[in-house]
Amino acid sequence: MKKKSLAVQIKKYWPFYIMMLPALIYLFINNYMPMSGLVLAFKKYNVRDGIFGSPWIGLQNFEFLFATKDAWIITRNTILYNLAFIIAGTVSAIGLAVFLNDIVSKKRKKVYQTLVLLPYMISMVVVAYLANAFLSSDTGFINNYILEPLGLQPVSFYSETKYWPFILIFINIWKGVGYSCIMYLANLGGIDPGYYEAAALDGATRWQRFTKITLPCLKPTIITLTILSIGKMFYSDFGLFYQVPMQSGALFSVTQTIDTYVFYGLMKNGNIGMSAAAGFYQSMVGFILVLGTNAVIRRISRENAMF
Amino acid sequence: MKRKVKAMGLTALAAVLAAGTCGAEARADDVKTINMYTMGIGNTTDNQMIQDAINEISREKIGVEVNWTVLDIGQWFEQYNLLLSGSEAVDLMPNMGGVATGVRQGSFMEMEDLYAEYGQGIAEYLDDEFLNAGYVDGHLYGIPSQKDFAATKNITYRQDIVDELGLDVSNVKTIEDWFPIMEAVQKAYPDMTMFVSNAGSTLNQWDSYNWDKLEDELGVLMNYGERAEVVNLFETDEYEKIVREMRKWYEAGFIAKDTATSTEAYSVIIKSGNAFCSITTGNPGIVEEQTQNCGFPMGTIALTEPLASTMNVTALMWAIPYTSAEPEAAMKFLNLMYTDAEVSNLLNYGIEGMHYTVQDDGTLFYPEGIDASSCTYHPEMTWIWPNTYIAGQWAASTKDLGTKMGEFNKEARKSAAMGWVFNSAPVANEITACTNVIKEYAYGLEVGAVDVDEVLPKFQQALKDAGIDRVIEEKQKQIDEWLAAKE
Repeated sequence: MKKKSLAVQIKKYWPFYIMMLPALIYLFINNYMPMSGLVLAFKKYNVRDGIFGSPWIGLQNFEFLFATKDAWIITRNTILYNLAFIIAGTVSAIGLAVFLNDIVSKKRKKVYQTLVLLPYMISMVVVAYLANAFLSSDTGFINNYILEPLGLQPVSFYSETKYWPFILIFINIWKGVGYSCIMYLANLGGIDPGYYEAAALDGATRWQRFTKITLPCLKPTIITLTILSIGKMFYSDFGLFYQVPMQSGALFSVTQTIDTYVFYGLMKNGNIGMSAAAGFYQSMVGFILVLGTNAVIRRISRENAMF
Repeated sequence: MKRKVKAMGLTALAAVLAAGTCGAEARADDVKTINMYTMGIGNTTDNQMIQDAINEISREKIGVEVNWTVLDIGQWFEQYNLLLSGSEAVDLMPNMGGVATGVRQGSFMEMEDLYAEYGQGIAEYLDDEFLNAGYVDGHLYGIPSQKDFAATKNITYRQDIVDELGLDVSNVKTIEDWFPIMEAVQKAYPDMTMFVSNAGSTLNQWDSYNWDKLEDELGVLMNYGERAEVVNLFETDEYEKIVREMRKWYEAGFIAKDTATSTEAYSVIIKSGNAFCSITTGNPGIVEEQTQNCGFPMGTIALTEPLASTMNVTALMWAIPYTSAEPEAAMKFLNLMYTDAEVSNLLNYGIEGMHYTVQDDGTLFYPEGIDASSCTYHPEMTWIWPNTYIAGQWAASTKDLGTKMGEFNKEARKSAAMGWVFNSAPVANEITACTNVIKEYAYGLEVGAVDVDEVLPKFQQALKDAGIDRVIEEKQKQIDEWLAAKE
């Protein structure tokens, strides 16, 4: 197809452009205009000179992110948790979507779908207390009603690090799977049933039908969603890492991420430049990661790359 | 929130209508209007009414009217940085924890000249010694409210239980002495938690004691700040003694296992009847205050002598933002709030007959049929108002609290760094790292939840790695310079 000039395109598709306009304006005001504030990351901000008049101080605001050996721990935690969330989250969302899709009764399907979506609607603060009801040493369900009757030693969850990678990944999936499976479910509904019928006639097993038909059809969605989450790899779900471990200091080596570190460290002195630097660093790395992932995908399978 | 706005709108409307029907007096042109923001807890529904009553007085006395906005305390912390950013029209505001953050950003106006010209009423109540804490780099930026400028560290406990069991607490002088008392109480109340930390996981328990913590505990002046020698608190014997005692309490089952992760304040837990004692700060009004907060008769024992440090004074300071259009009027109004008993009464307790009545003994109390929950103006934050002691005396509070507090402030031991304000900018990276280390180790150590032998050395090493020595060095340098300049 020959590429048409923008003017021709607008003339032809103008209703679509008008429909797009409100979102574009919103994006511009909300996402592009504040970008000029990024200069704050390189400035010693003061109110009298304003954002643009404040003196430049180079990369000084960034130093605190790399200054200590915590830098390694928080970066490692942020990346590894996000990798685990992406992999485990995608696998469980696809699995759940396939199961839900195979349920024949419409009514039951709706009920199950709503049930798995429910945790997504719960605020992280509430989730933290739900988790606390299970994990707490004095009153927790696990210690008092499972371990004690079994004659096992009580576990003090909020001071032992080894359980937390599992707890955090579990909660993240439990909370998010209902939402991400909707995307896959919509996709599954779009696959022509003819493929499955033909495959079944040719004697393909269920597993074969899944790997040879379902997965290839879902590939573009999987790639898009993965690229999007990789772009957020340097951000962490603040609620999850701040609320759920109940800010327990003993767990910091496995629960501290870039966001919580910046929050704890800067809450006291409220340094605008340093917070801006942390945000700038995260979004730059995210941007590079998105470009990188996309480049890799373009090399492997060109038609699936986003751009 | 929405309802509150609506309610405020309605009262405003009513006020306008009332003014309209009586024929509003012609507003003189030279009356200035200032915008004041404050924080509030409790009911402030009738705010507009109080504002109108104050304006009656202030218009006549100083030619200033106030436009007053109250933000809920939670909202205040979210909005505070915005208020400092200069994007809102603010002429006068209180600051918790001092003005240093704002001053570094250039948010506040230098007011030594304004103070000299319009703030002389304040000077009658406020010693220069305490006003000094409002100076940063030689300029005056904040004026402290009249309150306790010193504090002791106290054990605060359920007096009713101690009385019931007939325990003698008169010999308790140190935390070690408190152990047998809790042992006895635990025998009588085995289901009760003996000790809860002051603010759960939101503040470490022993952040202050008989040392001047110099704002952030990273480098302190030991022994009531008698010498201006900054040392590492976490490597002192005093600190180790405290955390070892806490470990003893924890192992004796006095402290709830979950205390390091609880975000509940001690008063909430004690109020529910599930706890016996906690560590609080102390001053002459503390027993009544704690009894009100905790809902039980409370007793208290001071473990330290009163210590006055910069922190106590900067806890609440009034400042004029740099962007203020009417700084003179703002200072005049602050002076009025500081010196006018009628205005102070209105701010603290509202309008007579409506929000309070004067009882036979001269103290104030809720009018008949109204209590704490139904009173439509009772901000419950008397300490934010510039001079609460010139207002009437609330029935439950200590008699002659103002006089007693004045004596307490005067007699307190003064830290050598009293009045010095830390400029943390040169070591911002180290402080950020150290703050995280404290969060990681000190909270657990100070409630005895972790093994001292194992964790304390780790904690000390982590602080070293995070650069606490740089912070201490910087503090020492600044204090030396400050002392030299004072000579």
